[in-house]
Amino acid sequence: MNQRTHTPAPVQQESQHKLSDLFLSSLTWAIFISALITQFFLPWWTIALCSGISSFFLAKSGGEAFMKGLVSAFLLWLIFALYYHLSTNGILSQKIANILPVNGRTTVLIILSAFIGGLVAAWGSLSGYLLRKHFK
Amino acid sequence: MNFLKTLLALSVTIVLCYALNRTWGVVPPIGKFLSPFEGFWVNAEASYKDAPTMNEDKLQIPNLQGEVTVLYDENGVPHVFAQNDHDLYLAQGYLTAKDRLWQMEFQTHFAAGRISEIVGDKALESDRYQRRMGAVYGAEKSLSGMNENPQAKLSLDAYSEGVNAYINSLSPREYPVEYKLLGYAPEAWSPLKSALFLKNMSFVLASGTDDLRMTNILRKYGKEVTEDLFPNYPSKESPIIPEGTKIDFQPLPLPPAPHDFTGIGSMNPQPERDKGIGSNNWAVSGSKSATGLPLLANDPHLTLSLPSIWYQMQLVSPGINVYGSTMPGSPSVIIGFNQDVAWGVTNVGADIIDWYQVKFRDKSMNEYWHDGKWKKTSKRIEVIKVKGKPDVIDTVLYTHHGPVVYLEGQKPFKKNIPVGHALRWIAHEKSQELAAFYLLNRAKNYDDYVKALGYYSAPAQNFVFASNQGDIALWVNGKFPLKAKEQGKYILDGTDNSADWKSFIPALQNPHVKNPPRGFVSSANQSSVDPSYPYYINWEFAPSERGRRINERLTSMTKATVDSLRMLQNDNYNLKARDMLPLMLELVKTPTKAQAEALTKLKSWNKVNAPDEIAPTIFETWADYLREAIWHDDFGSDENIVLKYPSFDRTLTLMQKDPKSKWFDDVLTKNKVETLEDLAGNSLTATLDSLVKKHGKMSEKWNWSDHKSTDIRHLIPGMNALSKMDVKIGGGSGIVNATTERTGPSWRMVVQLGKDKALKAYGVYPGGQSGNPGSPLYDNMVETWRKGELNELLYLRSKEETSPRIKKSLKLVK
Repeated sequence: MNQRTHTPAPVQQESQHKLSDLFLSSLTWAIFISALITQFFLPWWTIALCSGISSFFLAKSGGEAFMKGLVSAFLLWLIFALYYHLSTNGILSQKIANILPVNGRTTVLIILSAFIGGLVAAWGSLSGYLLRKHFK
Repeated sequence: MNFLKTLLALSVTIVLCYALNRTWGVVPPIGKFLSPFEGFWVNAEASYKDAPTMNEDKLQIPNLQGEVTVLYDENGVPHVFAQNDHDLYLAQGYLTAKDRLWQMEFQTHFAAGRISEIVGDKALESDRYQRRMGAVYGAEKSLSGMNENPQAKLSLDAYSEGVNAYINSLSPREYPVEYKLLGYAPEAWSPLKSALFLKNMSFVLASGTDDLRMTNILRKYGKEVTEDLFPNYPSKESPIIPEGTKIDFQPLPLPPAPHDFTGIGSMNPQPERDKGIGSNNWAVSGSKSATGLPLLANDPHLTLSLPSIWYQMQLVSPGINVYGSTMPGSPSVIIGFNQDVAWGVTNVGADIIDWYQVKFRDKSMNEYWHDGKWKKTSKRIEVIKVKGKPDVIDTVLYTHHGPVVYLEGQKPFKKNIPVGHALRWIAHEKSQELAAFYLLNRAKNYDDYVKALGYYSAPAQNFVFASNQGDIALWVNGKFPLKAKEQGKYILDGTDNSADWKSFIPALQNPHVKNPPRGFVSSANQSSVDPSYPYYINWEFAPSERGRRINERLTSMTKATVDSLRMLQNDNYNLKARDMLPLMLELVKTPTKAQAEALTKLKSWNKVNAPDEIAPTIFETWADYLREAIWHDDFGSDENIVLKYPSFDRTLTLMQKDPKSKWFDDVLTKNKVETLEDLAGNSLTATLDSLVKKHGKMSEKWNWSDHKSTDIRHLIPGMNALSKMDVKIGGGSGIVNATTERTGPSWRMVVQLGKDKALKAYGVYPGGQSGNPGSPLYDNMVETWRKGELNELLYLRSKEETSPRIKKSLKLVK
């Protein structure tokens, strides 16, 4: 357990670098922005298309595609769910949290929503990356 | 290998998208539903108060002829100003749909027997029942009647255009949240849906039928006992049309009574009629009011639901400026007022539903015997669509009376429906209710009101009326078959021509009273008239307690104000307790310790069903148990033949006048003769045992409102999260404030008639204008209602009139 405190400095830097890459890379932003725009007009599942197409062009590995799909869509849905929740004092989220099996906990409902978006985008993203390999 | 990996990833993606985009049983389409771009999140609304005042929105609506101005007040009530009737009703449809679309469609789907389309085969029997009772058949006939009247047709068609304009403007992300939850989409509206909605009011208010039960009793005990225990007029009554009111017409001769007939009855058990459905209304004349002009009050009692059955609106165009409660699904104001008059309704409960025992020629059931001939049945095919299953085809046989609702061997959905009998029901008649409301909305005086009522058939209502010319009136109004006395108390002989409905009571001879000497008119579903009225309306009405209490208080009232009428609407005094409790207390001669504690509570009780009292809980339970103890052995339901208990009124007179009656002996105990005292003691012990079992030792958990537990439930069964549960409120069945477990005053209105600005009106219903559970206006009026308060209703004279209460405006343009 104590090992973590002894981690050599370069590895720590690398993991920090990885973390910022996860949130700030062009692929993450490409998915985030394209999904943000299309989601207003097209069905929710186009989030998988957005992440797929973005990864088709920008992803360098399967792991990267999956993780960035997950993170960008998770964030996008999280931000919007939070916005609706907070700006309406949870008037509806509280009721829905009592209908769905989350024991009335709106936090769980918000994270669940974000996770569903992230999950679908992650698999779409991975599919896009893998398809790309057949066109090489 | 790479190929397989790609295929696998793609498949997972597609399967995920598909699986999260559709419903699974009761599970909503999770992905779609939780998406903050199109799911339920989008339906949440910020608080109305934060919305900027007077931001003028413009909405384009095809089919409008001119411009319509809509002003919304702080409760979300739209005040609609149109330039012509067409635009007025179009706007009514549009605006109602904007707040209540899901409810409108769900209620009409229910009425049409189409719930299986949404929820699958668990609703099949309910759908089949609606169809077999002729709901769609009746609505089609009613629509053809309404289309014959140009004004009704205009309002109906324009309303429909308005609803459709709203539906067409919606993208799926804007659908009401219930569509998202249940995973379906709205369909186009049509005038037939309005007709279905209006016909459904007959199901709610005028489909109660005891003919089968009464026939079973007749078979078991014979005519003499039956008529003794189920008399045609109660011992305590204060009829709607005051005793001694002279009839102002020459009555028609009654048709000859049908020959004596004892039907075969039925072998099906059945529940009691819902006693909570009823209403109060009254008007006091200027001689009793503080202003010198009449006051009018109304509170219709219906099943309490969210969204509410009512939707407030003000409708203004040349020739009309009316405010009141509308019913989502139907054009016009149903209960309301204009500058000159006010009106309200309560249910009559007339005997307008009869059953005829049908004699078929053979198993093919193509012919039946009537009036000495074999006559042909006709068939109506009902196709019921079922979600996820093939369509169900149901064939319903019709005789000239109406549908044979269930055939031999079929199991009725409602247990009071006899098998193998044809239904004759006023709800199957062509009718013109909408013309009545169209005219009533524009009425200027008593004559206009009477003329409007002439168009109204069903469900029959006691229409109370007051005008600023000083008139008050009440018409027991509807289309009533002209029958022999008591014709239809029991099941009728379907072969006997003289048992048929031949004609109707002329509309102008319906029971009515105008400006009676006592200075008020009132109704609370009790007997319409005393036995001197020449025609038969029904043999049994709602119990008289509410009516008697209202009449007592109105009699003693002087200088009445809006507030005195509001207090009367919230009156919790228990007349049943006043009538029966002293006798019950006397019967327990040697109380046990537990009984003594309860008796002390009851003796010190002021007989008010207040929310924080324990005594009403004990009394109500005890009175039920005692009645059960008296009658269950003689009139209880065994598995095969189910009967009905004599009324509270008859039970009380039996206890008072015949305390040694044989009916008090429990015939189920051999070698023992029970007395009334035994029954009273035993039922009190049973009462206390059951209350302890339910709530623990006597404590505030026994409080009346906690015990009664009034719920205002969302229309989807089981959606507690969208409901208001355990509303702390007093009242009860037979109390003027008739708030029971599930039913109660669904709209309370008090109008002070007056010239110009002297007109004041107040109202509230237990809900809110918005049908959206994500809106602050979904249930914002419940608390006002619970406390027995009323909101002042904003009556604008013109769209230029300013009021600080106007929070939002909207222009509807071509």
